[in-house]
Amino acid sequence: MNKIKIRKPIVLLLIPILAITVLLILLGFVFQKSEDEKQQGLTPIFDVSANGTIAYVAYDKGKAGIYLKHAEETFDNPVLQLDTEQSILDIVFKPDGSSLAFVSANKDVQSDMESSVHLLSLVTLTSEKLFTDLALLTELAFDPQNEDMLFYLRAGTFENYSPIASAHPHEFDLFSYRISNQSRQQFTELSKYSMRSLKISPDGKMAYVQMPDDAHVETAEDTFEMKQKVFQIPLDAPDDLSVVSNNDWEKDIYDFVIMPDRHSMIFQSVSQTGSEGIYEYELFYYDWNNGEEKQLTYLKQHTSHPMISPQNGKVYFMVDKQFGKRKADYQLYQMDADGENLESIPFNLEKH
Amino acid sequence: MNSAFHRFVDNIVQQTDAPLDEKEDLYEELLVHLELSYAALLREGYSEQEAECKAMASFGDEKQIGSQIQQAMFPYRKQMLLALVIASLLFSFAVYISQLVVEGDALITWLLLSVSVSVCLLVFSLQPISFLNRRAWINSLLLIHLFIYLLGAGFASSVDAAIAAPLTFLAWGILLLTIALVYRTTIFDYRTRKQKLKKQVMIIHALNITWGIFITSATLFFLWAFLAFSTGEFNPRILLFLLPLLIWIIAYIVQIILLSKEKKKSAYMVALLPFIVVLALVFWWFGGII
Repeated sequence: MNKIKIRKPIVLLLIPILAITVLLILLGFVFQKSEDEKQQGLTPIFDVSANGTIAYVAYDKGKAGIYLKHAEETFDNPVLQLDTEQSILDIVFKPDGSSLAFVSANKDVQSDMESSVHLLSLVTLTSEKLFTDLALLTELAFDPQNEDMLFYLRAGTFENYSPIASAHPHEFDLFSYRISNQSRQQFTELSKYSMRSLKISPDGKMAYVQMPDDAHVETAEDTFEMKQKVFQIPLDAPDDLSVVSNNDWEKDIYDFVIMPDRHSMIFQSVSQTGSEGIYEYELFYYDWNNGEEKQLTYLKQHTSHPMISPQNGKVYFMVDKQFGKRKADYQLYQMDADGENLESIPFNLEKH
Repeated sequence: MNSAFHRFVDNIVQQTDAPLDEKEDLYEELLVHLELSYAALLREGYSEQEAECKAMASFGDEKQIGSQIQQAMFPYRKQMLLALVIASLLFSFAVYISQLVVEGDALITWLLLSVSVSVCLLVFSLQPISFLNRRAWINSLLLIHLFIYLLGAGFASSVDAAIAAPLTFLAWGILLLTIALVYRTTIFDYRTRKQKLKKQVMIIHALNITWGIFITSATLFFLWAFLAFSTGEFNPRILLFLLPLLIWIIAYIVQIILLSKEKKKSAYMVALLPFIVVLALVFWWFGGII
């Protein structure tokens, strides 16, 4: 009675089930992608040159590439593409638009934290490695008055400071690299928890960054009250940094761009909480001479990375249409500095 | 004893997935019927061989009789199991393909586990296997199925495409059907004859299964939350989260033992124990927070 003999009709049922399972496993081995190969589509990293060319970073089957768009013309092929193990953290045009500096780093930052800064000639489309650092170099900015001087933000660590937080770069400071003599200089010794949105003033005398205003933090309660603000750092006296964003602004300020008049800025902040409980980030204008404030965008999405075109003074920015979801869906927009004439800029991303 | 009758009755009994003791009773009953019919036919003047053949022929087809007895003993059980197996296999293949095409992930281990457990249920439903045909075995299989497809529901909802919604809906249908089968198997299908307080046993089982689902869900949630906040090193305090589950298992066993000794009141008192422990923990927790 204990002898099991599977009946023939059951065996006939099991054969196709087994065959489908084996086929699916074989297909799995053929078509599965590693984490490095999964990245696809536009990132929020872009820059606009003096002649109006837009350079942007997009991933194609996990390969980070730099693509160009000029006027209505989009070049389908990347001017540079890295292998699947590498990512591009930032790109910036040289003030004359002839070349483009970019930072590459390993995607697996935690096991191999190394960044390299390269200079890509847009004439010859050849890339030259400027230097490598055993740290995470998150942002680049040229000195508008001196194309030989490249500023960058350097994060000394990439880790999670608390069990509930995911790993992020920390211990930030401002550095520069002089291309002609390959010398590096450290400007700040802040080891900041976070620092972003590096901008250099048109006269090359001032750096602007966004970071937490922790000057008066002493207790854990103070940490919760701490706000993200925009600071200016005099490059000849970096210790004399000061807040230039509105101290009365009750929310955090994230990305920003300093207007050419140097006494006003466009910044990113939360406007309200959306119907699904997700924050809506918009762009705002603030003039710190006369205290004038104005909300510029009402897209009710995640608006970020504002920058001003040196060519036409238009404000370019990215919008993540899937913010709060698992995969981002970025779209580049442009508008006038007063928020008028908003339009999206298509990239024909399905081609790559 | 007539060996042809034994084979005939054995074939009928094998069509059912009744517990062994019920099968033995059924076997005896059918055999007696056959032998009475055989004796009557002999008295009518038939030869031994003719009487044997006629007795079995008047009984009908073994498979058909077995199937009818199975349906009478366990109405729609086979259909429920088959529906679960078909839905589970389709779900496994659909989730695997969706994850592979949309996310680039080949969930090979999960596919093998889910297909294996579904195939086991298919064999169970189509071919009752005597020595495996126990409440513990079938419930174990259903519980394994429940956990594997709970994981599958997570995979289905994480597919970044429109198919995620119907797949997740199907996953919850499969989970509900599995839970329904656990209730059915425990309370109705396999009632032990050792228990005299049959109604009380059914109530205690229903109470404990419901409570078990609640406690297991809460334990998994708190374990997940604890692990999410942990630094990755093993912390012995994690075992505290398993305490309500352990108390529930022990209390369940004690209740069944007490009922077998016909101690109804004591069994119900023990049934309250997990409720009291969990309520005490909740008050302690919120009291601590307040």
